[in-house]
Amino acid sequence: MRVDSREDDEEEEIGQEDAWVVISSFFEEKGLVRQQLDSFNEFIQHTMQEIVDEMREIELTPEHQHMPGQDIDSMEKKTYKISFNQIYLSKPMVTEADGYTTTLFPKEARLRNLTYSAPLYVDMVKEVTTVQPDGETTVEKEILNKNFIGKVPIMLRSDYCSLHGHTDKELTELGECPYDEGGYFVINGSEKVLIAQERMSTNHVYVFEKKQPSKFMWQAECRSQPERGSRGASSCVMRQLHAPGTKDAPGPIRCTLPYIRTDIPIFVVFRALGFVADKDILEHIVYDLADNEMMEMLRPSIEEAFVIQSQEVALDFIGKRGSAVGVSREKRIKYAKEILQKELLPHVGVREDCETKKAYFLGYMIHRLLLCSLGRRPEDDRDHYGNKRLDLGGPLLAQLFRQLFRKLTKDVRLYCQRCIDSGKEIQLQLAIKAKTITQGLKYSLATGNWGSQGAADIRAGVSQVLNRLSYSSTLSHLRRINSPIGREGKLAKPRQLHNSLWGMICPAETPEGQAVGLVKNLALMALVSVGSPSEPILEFLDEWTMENLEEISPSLIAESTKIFLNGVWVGVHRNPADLVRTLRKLRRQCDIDSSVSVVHDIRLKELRLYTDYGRCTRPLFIVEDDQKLKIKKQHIELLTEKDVTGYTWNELVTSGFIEYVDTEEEETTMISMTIDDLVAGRHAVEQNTGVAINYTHCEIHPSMILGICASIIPFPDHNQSPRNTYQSAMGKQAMGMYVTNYQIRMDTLGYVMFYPQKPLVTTRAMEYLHFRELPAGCNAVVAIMCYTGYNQEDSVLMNQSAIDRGLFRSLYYRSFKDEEKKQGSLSREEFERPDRDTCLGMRHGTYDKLDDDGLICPGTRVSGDDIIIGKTAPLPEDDTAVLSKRFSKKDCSTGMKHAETGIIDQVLLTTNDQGLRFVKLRVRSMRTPQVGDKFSSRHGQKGTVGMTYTQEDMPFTCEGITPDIIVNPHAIPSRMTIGQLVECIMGKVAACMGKEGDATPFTPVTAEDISSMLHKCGYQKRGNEVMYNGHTGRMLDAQIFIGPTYYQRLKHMVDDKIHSRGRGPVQILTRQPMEGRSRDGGLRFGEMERDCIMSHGAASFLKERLMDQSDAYRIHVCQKCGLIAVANLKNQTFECCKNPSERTSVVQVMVPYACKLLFQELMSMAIAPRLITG
Amino acid sequence: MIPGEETGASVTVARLEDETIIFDLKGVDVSLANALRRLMIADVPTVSIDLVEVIENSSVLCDEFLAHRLGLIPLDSTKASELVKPYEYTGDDDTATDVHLELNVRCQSDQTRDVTSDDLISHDERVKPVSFGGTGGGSAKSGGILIAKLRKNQQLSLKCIARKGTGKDHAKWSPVATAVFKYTPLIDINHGLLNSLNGKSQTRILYHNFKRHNAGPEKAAIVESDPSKMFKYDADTDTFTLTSPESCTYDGEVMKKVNELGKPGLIDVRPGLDCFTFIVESTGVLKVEEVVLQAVHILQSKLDTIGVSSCFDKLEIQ
Repeated sequence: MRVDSREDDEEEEIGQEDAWVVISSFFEEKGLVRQQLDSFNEFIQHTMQEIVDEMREIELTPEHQHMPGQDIDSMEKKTYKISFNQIYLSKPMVTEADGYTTTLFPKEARLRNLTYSAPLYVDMVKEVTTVQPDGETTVEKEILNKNFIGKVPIMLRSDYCSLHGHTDKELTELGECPYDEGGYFVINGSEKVLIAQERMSTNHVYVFEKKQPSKFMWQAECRSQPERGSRGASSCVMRQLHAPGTKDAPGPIRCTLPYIRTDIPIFVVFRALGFVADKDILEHIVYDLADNEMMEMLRPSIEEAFVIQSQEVALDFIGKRGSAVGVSREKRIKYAKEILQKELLPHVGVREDCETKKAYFLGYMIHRLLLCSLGRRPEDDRDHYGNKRLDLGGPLLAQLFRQLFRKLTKDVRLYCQRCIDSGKEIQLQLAIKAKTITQGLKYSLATGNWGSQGAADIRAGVSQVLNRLSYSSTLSHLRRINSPIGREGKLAKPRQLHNSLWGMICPAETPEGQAVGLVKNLALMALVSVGSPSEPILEFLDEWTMENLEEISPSLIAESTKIFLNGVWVGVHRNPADLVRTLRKLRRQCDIDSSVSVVHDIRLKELRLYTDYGRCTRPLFIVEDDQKLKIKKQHIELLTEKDVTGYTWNELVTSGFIEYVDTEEEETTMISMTIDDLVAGRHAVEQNTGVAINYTHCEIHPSMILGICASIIPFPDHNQSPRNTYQSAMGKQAMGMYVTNYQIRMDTLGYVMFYPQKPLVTTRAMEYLHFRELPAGCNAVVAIMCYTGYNQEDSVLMNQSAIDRGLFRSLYYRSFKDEEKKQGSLSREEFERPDRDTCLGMRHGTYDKLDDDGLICPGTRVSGDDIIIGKTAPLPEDDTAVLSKRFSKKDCSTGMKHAETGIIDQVLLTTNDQGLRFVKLRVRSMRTPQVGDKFSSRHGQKGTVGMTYTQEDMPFTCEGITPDIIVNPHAIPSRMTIGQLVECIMGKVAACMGKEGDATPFTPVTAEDISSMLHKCGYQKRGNEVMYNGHTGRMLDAQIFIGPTYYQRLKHMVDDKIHSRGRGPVQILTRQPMEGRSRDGGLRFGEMERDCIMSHGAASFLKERLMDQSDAYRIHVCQKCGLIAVANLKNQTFECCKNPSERTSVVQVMVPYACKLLFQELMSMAIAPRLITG
Repeated sequence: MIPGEETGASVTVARLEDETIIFDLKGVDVSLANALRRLMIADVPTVSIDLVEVIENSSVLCDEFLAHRLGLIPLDSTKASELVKPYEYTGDDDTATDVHLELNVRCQSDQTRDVTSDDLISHDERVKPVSFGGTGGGSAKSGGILIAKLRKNQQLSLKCIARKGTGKDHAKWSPVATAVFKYTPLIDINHGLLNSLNGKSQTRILYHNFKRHNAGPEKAAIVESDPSKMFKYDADTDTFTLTSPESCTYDGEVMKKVNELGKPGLIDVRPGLDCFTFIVESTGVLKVEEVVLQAVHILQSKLDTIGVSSCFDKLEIQ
């Protein structure tokens, strides 16, 4: 081998630059949406089959109908068994309305509003056992292979996607963007993302201190959920009460059991489990009986349970407090036993022989509680990310699929029961309602309501429409995490950045406002475990002399280490250090799944192993005992020549150079921030100048702690942190190129810039985000100065000549869709040009632009309320009104949005899945920057254009450079976005040298370095330049900071916002002006405005605003009764108060219509609002 | 009265190339110099494509995109004077205002076809796209300016109308890439102080980074401190000279350095108040000297309309 010939290289260490090779190989293999794909693949490949296998077979016996003269005993007895076996998933398919089935590609699904889903088939076995009256038994077995049971939406670019394994060129030919990484679904033509849902991890013991008003001092809880199966978590809570009459002395400990109304003293629970003697019980809790403090803590509990001294009594005690009332003692005891076996801590076991294990676990919970109560340990941290799990697409779909499959089997059972009861032969094909699964999955994915329709515990917003504003916003959306905690909760803790989020969750990217800190985003290199079976680990532990709980004496526990596997206490071990070392070694060789986490908690004497799904993990370099990285230069060389060597990221993991560490294991590691730190630490020890630090791991690169949006910020480490958060939010609104196939997509909204540029100042991470290929901004020459005063308060001046030359010019696409809906079975709507003679309810806009087919021609200029899709619906024949004689149809056309203009870009006429004619139409309009449009740098410095000046009016440098954008210097000091200043200087250097500047955070580059480079380029080193006033030609007194800075054009443009109204439409109910620009609404004169005018004493103006200009209405009021009179203005007759002889005087009053409405509503509920008129 | 009226302005051309001119304008006030600069950018009329009729466009770029690109293509405007601006013309004859150009390209081959300004066919002798093929400094392969790229079977068929206009209305009518002036510097070196400087190497501690730093010979340090590199120092002969005053940017770095060395007044850089160095770069639509001359004429005619005589009446060009 080549390596052998270069002995020196063998041990050569790698540098920080080499780490980037490793990072590149990571992204090459994993991409940016790996968690979504992994999770979905796991669902398809394993979980779905497991759910089907988990389902018990359907057993049916005929309910005999009473037939006179027939003896039931003399008849043969039949039992039917139906079971589901192997499932099969095909490639995504579409079945047209005419029954023709073809493979489906995402492009077609998107354009034709289809669902990108694959049919699912299952093998079924029907077993009929017939028992003749004479005892003869015959078994008939029928195997039905590959029954269609529904369609499963397929995640794009997953293993089952039609796009899987295609090259970039093939993808382009299939109408896909090669940069699109998938990870989402296409449901009814719209792209849906499943947002990862954060939850507390189950089977974990948490101890919390209760705050004062509570009855309890401390509480230990465990939400127990078995590894497999569908059962919801059953919660077990231990609570330590206050001693009676005191505030701070500990009292007895009680335990909440499922289905039991009151808390049960713990000693009673132990006795019910069969541990009767006090000593026995204490051994399970305290471990070290010499620990007097802890023993003393348990005294109140012992005393409380003193009266109950046998298992029977204890079980009865529990049974009495169960839900069933008035049953016999035996039944109560059985009930209590059942609860202890099946419902208490089901993750430990639900079989009969689990009492010992459960007792140990309960004891452990109490032990933990006591440790905290004694002040030996702090309470647990609820917000530690090790205690959190993420439910991604896979588990979410599994949850749904389980529900739906159960419903399907229930329906099959019902149908079959009905069949056999009526003596018909069972036809399984007819029994399966494939719609259950097809529609169920589609419904949840389309609406985001997770759970079947109308179910109680639905979670909203789980599936969202994929954001396609810019490429980075798409990527960021695919890596989003939601914590389903009420947004209103005032508790700040769960929203705060926690230490344990390092490397897993982006510290900058979170929305502002109510969801701050609750919606998070994965860091670049974070992955989420998909889970692996725990059995191999258990087998391994048994081999490696773990002692089972059933076999040990409790006294042993004190000096050995407890081993927990997925929260289940499986045994103890006397030499944990060795065990941990072997476990880690095997994991690094991938003999054990590399996502298994090994947490050795030395203080608690615990070894916790996790194989479950939903843990955040991230890769780290492994540091060997000699404080050197295990990976060497030679491996980097293998990586760089991967085309020849085939050496990839996977090899790095399997050879044990890198391992995935999850949040909990991370707490037991010592990670050096950089490779240099490692070297420095080693030297410090060698030269005896420092303390030895035993690193176990090394960060691959600290900049990988950032997420997608924050990775676009240059020098984020020079900014005030909220600015990075603001930019992370704004980067998602920047225009650029959101996908390369935007021309063949029909997005409802799309912004594409004419000339997007890759930034001059980049970060290394941008390479993986394809920011250079699909950029969202321009390198504008930005000067920071005051000029003319039109850039105050976060507005900017822009160079009109630069705009003329194409700076920030962009296109705005908007799509409309319509279909010929069926109305009843006979008639259906029709695309055509509506005719005023035959059509009812035609609109104001022009129909002239429509062709004869009812569609508008591409290239037509449209504006205002122009009709772009003409469609009519037939009016029902039996309409007796006069109208129907003239009109036979009703207009259902689609018009443009009334404030928009544009040119018809593309018209697509096709059919949807029901075979109905279906049209999608795209309008395009060019948007040149103008006064009022919004722009932003990459440092949370947004601003609107305050004025545009032509080149000759702009200030100029001695080289004739005029700035494209002038921002006000006041935007800088209070916001402390130093990163922008450094970016500007580096941009200048980059432009001079013709290279990209590297602005990756946490690198040793300093502003001083960049300055001296700029000096060498012939500019003032701080980026200042002498400038001349464009109007007068005079030299400006101050030097101006000027240089190229990357600016983004944000989607907020005045043309979409400009609005004014004199008179206009009013609401029907209140006759007040409509709200909102889209309805040509009025501008609200709100409370604060009202207060202002009131304080001025301008009463007439106030009345004019609130009534005359809004909803003035004339009513006539009877002066006698004070109610609204009947007024006939034509005849000038007024009536009120029944008795006509009494001539009542009626007065005319002007009131707001809303006021009249209120009066009438009050009258309708028998309250008479009387107006006393003077 | 316009300053400099009595003396009369003079122009000294330092360099003249096809597209670049550098000249000194002496004897005028800054306001006049600036007026000249502004006129060159915004008031010298040129011809550009103003209206595009799209007959066939199957390229990936939309019509607006192409129209914008076409507008920016420089058209030879030497005969712009023969045209009239559309809004100044009241007659019916289109030929007085409009120049028709056509573009018909279809890609037949498997290779991408570049559509460039060379594909623009003018039907009028007066106006043609600027050709970069021969004499100019154009570096593009085909010489033309790229408009769009076509794939096989894509087609572009356009009719363009070019019109006369000025940079005020749209930057496409601006004849210059940049027109800029700066004050010609007055640089004084106090040789007495200069001689008191240390020429030899010395080290000293710079306190801002606590590193031992080789400050070098002080004279060399002065040279080094100036990013615009106006001065030169020859260590062998210990000569300190002003070599390129024209690169002066008034950034004040040299004066800062001199003050730092404790010799204020050693070097003084001031702007001269009635002398300006102009650098004008043409986009190629007009010869650069033509731009300057036309700007002067426009300035004169503007001054005539308000009845002031200008110093340019007696302009001397050297």
